[in-house]
Amino acid sequence: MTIATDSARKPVSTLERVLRAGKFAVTAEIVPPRVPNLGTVTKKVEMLRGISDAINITDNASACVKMSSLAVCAHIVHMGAEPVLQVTCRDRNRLAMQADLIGAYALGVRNVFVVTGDYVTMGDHPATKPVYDMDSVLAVQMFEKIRTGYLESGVELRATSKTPLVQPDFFLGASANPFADPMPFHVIKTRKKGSAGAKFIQTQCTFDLPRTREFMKLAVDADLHEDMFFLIGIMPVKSHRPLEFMATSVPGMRVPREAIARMKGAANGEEEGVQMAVEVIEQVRAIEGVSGIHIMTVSWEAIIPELLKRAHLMPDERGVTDLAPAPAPKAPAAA
Amino acid sequence: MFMNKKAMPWYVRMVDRVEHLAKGPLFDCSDCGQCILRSTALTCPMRCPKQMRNGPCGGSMDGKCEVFPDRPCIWNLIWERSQRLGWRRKLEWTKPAVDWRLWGTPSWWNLLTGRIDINGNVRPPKGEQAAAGDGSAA
Repeated sequence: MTIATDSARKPVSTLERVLRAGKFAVTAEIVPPRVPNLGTVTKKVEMLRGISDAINITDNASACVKMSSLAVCAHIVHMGAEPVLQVTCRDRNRLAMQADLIGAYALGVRNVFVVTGDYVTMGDHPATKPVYDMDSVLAVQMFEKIRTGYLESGVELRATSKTPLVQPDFFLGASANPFADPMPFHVIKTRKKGSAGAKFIQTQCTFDLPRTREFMKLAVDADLHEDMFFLIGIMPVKSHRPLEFMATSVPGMRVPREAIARMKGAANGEEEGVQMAVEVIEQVRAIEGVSGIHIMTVSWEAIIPELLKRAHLMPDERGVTDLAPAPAPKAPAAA
Repeated sequence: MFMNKKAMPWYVRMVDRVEHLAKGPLFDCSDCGQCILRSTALTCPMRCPKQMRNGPCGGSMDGKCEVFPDRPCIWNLIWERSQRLGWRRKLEWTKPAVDWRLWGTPSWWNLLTGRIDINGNVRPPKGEQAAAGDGSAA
């Protein structure tokens, strides 16, 4: 039985519903602002709701302080859209990670995505103490255990000793990076994440298609696509500058020289960037085992509707209807 | 974190001294107290700046560390040495989270007292609930 046909399970979120129905999924990503003001987030969510199945909210991405991911996720739930709470292992120990997860459930967040996190010296507080109490595999395992009603230490999740066990249901995801070395080991690690409880994988953004194909081939050979949905990262760029930056300064990124040259030679950078992203999407869709795409734009969310239109991935073209969050199931047996 | 060495009785400190004398120069031992060298091709993963025990992070490229680009990624070394030793299967094991109470204590003593098993997996002390990944609680 593959994960897509596991009909006994009731999806907890729109993203899970779309993926389990075998439709091609589209998620987007918003980086929270540094200023204590949700205005920009609201605008971006308005742009994305109705066309992307869920919106990832990064958690201090690149080790730079931003508004809390959980706060932004709660705001998005209030807006009637669907967030994916990103959690990094860099900033919190198991107490804080679990506390945030319980809070997230109470606030209506159902999708959770775990990453290890860039090291602190890459960010804006290089002197701070890195935590890494859990790694990404263990964090997924810990969250999966919470789904069964137990904290990491084995403590039961119940209000008092007389009330029933609470089993908050999440749709758990984790990251994978096809561009990191050694690739077979990263496939093994992805499998570990799957055994730990991850149901979807979102990958680092793709410019180097042959590597992505090779990674997916290894993943499919290991039957990982039977247990997890793979969403491949896509990034539209406006010029060659972000590509050069990523090629040199972002760990775990591979950008082929041809892509940089192509963007450099483009008369209209934005047009060329979208065209390139559309081409990558088309090629990614043809790879076996791919269930969707994850669009990262850094701060060019405005292009996503156009990009999806040109890639023929608007909800009706994907066969996805009713892109509102699934009704929150009743909190399991409140005291 | 608190260096638990400072709270140990003299005889445990002696074991610690001997273990560290051996493992310090050989493996750049960090005294995690839950040694998993046996499953990581005799290469200590606690040298990884992120102290990953379940494999490389997404920043490991061309065998280099994302944090110190002029240094090798320790998980890349573990991968290569595991291939050479034929220990690749061990890399598929999910190692439990670090028990920070053991930080700075000697693994050999912890092994002797049953606090860790031969592969470095932590066992909860007597009277404590099952640790993560055990699953016996469920």
